Amino acid sequence: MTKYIARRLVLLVPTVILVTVIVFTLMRAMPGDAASLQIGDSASRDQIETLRAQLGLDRPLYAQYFVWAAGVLTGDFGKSHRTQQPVIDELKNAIPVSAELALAGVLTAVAVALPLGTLAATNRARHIDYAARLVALAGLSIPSFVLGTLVVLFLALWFGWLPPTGYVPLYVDPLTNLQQFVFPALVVGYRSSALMTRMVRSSLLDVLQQDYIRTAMSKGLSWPTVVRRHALRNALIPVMTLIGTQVGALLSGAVVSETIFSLPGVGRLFIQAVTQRDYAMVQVVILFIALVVSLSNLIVDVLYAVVDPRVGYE
Amino acid sequence: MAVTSTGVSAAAIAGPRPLEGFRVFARRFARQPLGMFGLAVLVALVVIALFGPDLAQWDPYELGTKRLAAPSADHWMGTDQLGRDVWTRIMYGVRPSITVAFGAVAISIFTGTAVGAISAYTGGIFDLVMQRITDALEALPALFLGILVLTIVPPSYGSLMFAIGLVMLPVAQRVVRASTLAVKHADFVTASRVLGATNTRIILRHILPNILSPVLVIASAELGGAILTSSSLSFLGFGTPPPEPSLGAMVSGDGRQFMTQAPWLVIGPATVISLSILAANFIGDALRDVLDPRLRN
Repeated sequence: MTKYIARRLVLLVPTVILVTVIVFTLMRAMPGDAASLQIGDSASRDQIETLRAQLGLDRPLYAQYFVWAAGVLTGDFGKSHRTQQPVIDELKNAIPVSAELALAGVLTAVAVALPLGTLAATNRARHIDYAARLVALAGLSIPSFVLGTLVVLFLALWFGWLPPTGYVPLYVDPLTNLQQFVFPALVVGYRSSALMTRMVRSSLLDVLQQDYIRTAMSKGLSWPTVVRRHALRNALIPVMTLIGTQVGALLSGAVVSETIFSLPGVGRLFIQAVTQRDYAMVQVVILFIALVVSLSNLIVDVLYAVVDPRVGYE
Repeated sequence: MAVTSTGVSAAAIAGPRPLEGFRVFARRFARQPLGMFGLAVLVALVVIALFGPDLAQWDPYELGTKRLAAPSADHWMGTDQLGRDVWTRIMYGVRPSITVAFGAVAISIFTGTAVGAISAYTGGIFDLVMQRITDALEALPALFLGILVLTIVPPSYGSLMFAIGLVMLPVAQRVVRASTLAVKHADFVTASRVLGATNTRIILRHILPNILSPVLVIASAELGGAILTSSSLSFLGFGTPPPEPSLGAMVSGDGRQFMTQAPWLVIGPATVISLSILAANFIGDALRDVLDPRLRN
């Protein structure tokens, strides 16, 4: 097991390096470089050249990459050409927002999917099953930006109320924080809940056909006990894996949700950085995202083996 | 029945199987009500994409005097803040959405099939490099990767297809690779190699036909994802540039600004987007039920 984790961690290194190389190259292929953006159109050619030299933009691409990579390894992620502040500071401020959004999204998804999927599987081919599957299918088909926009629309039309903009940390003012996060989390979570409901349903249906369920029934256990203690426990193993693979989708949903509800999270930071051609910021955001996604995939695979003793990695 | 000069019927040479196979498939698909509903919606969307401009009563760019007018017999879905007919703009907006979605699916399926099949068949360094690149692409969530690409190549039909195709490439590639690995050592592959078939011929004639089912299932599943991603991108400002109507962009920007006074500005396009993704998902589910023998009762 330790050997497996070590090997996966080692494999993660080239993946993340490759991501940064791709992004670094793409950023340099963008029309208009950092120097001319920083100085403006009025600057003379000489001024731009001087600034390029200062920023190291006149050096070959691979040299620029190594300078950047060396910086990253020593904790220096570069400065935003917009604010002249270290990009890592702004990222650090945005992470708690997106983390809370993602966590609340996952909780929403589980809270919806677990009962709904269980009801669907235990009432197979009855009305409640079809209803649950319809709710799930709607979740898969309604894009986050549509749902978010409609939520804002109905809140404004019916209640004349909109969530407070900006971000207030949970520990400063729990009520305001809750008002800010409930709806974005619903929007992000509903989509994941759709996939999860389907997964809970099909996985539970699978388990309910196993011999040990019949055994449990025939020793006189009540149906709810069998479902809860015998079936669900086993059925939830693949569902847990799904939560891990949903991290990427949650982050994509966060981009949309943070834009609609004006939450200053990583997604909105990314959109801002891209539109303002803030290279250093884009690179550090992408590095962070790639690490989060790769690590959560790794954690899921490891947890899988921990929870299910039948799964082993050599 | 057509008879060739040698006296053997053409059907006998071609064998009855391909057409027969398709008939069985079509019959099974027709028994899926939701799948048929999805297909009907998709056909309607394709018709609107092809002939929308001829069907529309209004000019999508013409500024009218009736601004933010509620839906009426004249304007089925009302008018926007510039007095333009919303339903007409939706019909025009279906074209980029559907074109980009089909193009993106085609790109990801063709590239994914080529890379996945060759990767699995040849193995070695090529496989190793391709899988690491796939890992790297997969480490970036859809919207992040899509937006990154679209900042380098400004949004157009082509660049959107490419960006979304790239986003969906890893999954297509992995499915094809896994399916190819499963048939690579089958006896009929060995047999044809013994008979002296080239690698190209083995991949094209023997491996590809055998992995067609999973490829079809993935392609239909990707269609909904492609519509979702392209409309999300255009909502975020990375779609086909104005003044061409784009469904995603109709829900953001001006649509959002005026939606409390004129909810039809966003409800119309939002419904069409969701309905098209729903249709694609219905088709995907039906195809999976039909093509996956493990699910067949």
